[in-house]
Amino acid sequence: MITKIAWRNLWRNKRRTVTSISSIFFAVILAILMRSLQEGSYGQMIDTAARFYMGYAQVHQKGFWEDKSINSLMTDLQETRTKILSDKNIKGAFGRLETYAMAATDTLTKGVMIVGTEPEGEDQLSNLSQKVTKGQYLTSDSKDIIIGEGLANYLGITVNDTLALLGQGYHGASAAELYRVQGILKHPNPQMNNQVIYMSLPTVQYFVTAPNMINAYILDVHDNRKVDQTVAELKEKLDLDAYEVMSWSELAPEMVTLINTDREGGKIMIYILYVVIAFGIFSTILMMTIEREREFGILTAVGMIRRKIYSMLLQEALFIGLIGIVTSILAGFPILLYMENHPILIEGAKGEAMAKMGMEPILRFTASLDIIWPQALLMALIMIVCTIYPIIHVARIKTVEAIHS
Amino acid sequence: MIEIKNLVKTYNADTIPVKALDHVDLKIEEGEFTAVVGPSGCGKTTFLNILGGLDTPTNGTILIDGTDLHNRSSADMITYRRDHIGFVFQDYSLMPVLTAEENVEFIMELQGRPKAERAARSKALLEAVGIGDKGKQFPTKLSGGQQQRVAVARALASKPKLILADEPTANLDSKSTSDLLDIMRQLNEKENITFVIATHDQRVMDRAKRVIQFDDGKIIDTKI
Ligand SMILES: Nc1ncnc2c1ncn2[C@@H]1O[C@H](COP(=O)(O)OP(=O)(O)OP(=O)(O)O)[C@@H](O)[C@H]1O
Ligand SMILES: [Mg+2]
Repeated sequence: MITKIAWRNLWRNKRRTVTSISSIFFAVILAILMRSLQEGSYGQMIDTAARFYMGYAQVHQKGFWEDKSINSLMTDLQETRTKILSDKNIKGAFGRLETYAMAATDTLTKGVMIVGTEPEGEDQLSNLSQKVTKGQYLTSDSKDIIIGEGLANYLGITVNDTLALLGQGYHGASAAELYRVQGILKHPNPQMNNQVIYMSLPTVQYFVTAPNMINAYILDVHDNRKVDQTVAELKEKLDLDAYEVMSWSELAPEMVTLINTDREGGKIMIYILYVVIAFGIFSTILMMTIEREREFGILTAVGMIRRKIYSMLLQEALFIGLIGIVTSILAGFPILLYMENHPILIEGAKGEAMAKMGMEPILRFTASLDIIWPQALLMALIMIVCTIYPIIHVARIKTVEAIHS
Repeated sequence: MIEIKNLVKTYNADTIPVKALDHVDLKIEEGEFTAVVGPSGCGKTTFLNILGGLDTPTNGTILIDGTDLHNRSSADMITYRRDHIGFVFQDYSLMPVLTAEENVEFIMELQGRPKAERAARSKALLEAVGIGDKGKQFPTKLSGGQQQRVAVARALASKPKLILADEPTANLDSKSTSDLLDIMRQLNEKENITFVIATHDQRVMDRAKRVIQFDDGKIIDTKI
């Protein structure tokens, strides 16, 4: 019956209760949308970084990541590929051999990064072929190269021109070769755009005199939220004396730091919003309590122990909180689902500026219960905390004085 | 039986003391129907509050069936009141969010009585106070007289031996007053419930078996 009384008490002042519920509703919706946008944009950042270069995870020879030396290569084994591809979250895996070299034309030289890769695998991961603005994308045994647009402009060369590359080969071999430019691509990462040269894997292996060797398997996944689990599974499958498996978060720890800092910033904004809401709720609950002092006096007079009165107050607060939270989830989650599938496209100058910085001009949302339940929990906690002082207030009520007030 | 010995209540003892009760000695037998009367401020409400365990005396004791009423923790006092004393207030003081029936049941629920018993007894009590057909109504839909009857039914819910009523008829018209007095007298006679009623109302004094006159915190007269 106390629950029934608490419930009915809410509707004694409908407008006030509805106002409290609405404030919770809007605060939680706002918080959910904000967090969803945040997590969506992190997902997008990770996606961009992973797709255009890193992959979601990489397998190297053990110790490669420490020194990144041209001498820490591994033999590309079908057996290893089979093991990697056997994981059900792995969408694809391909080999890369990266090295640095000096590029020279008749008049200019520049340090470049050579990415020897499997063109089909690379294309599946990042649609790299779509970024080719002139000439042809690579095939798996192309002898020619494609280069970043920035690099091409710097060197003043274009398709069908020849470029000399000079570098260090495997175990001290020298590497020097002439290549024809078969295509120019606009890489979304500005730094890469200014220094990257893509060539097919056999071609780079020939260049550094390391036949059938690579420095990494680049992995693509079906579900990027399960990368850590996939990495753990791969560590079980592969011989860890020979290999190391790293997820994007280990490959780019600075990105993880950036995301975490930004996420905490967003959470602090939400906390500030909640503190404002909490003050409103607190004053409502306190008012609901103070104006019923006489009623509480009568209730203790006729034999209601105070603990039951406290429980009634708490239930009133939790009802308000619960209605606010449940309605905001019922309304908010479908919005998130919709926004997840219909991201906001940013057009005009702002969109172009984002594209220039290597970001897709899109605001992405993510719909996940992980975003919602902390808000629900936090709100429930706020309701409880807001009831503490009113309960203390009731505890101090003197029955006789309350009755005769 | 209630024995009131040397009861003193002083308000504001540390500033300007007000002696609301000044050495009151009184015996109230089981089954009395007693009116406590006297001018405004003579101490009637104070007396009832202390007799009902809502307030504590500055001095003196109240023995109910031989045990000291005030020798209890405040939590025990609440359950003692719940189980042994019924209260009727001038302004009825029903729970506005509960129907007439629920107001009566509520006390029994606090006592932990089973649902079937609660429902049956609250029906019977509302029947007994003459508003059996108003059980499903909320207090705001009832007249003052009807609300006060619900209050009497509520006071009876826990089967107390003592009912304390402070100016129960002050807000009622004469028809409602006489109906309420009939009901209370009936309960008094049939169930042997003791009634102590603080009042200014001549009609209540006329129907009382005993009238105790207070003045300035003292008993100055007792009529049977
Ligand atoms: N809480 C209090 N603090 C100080 N003085 C009080 C308090 N309650 C009552 N008094 C004083 O005690 C005296 C007795 O008051 P009480 O309310 O018992 O009188 P009463 O007979 O019920 O009067 P009424 O007929 O007006 O209801 C009065 O002088 C009153 O002013
Ligand atoms: Mg009074």
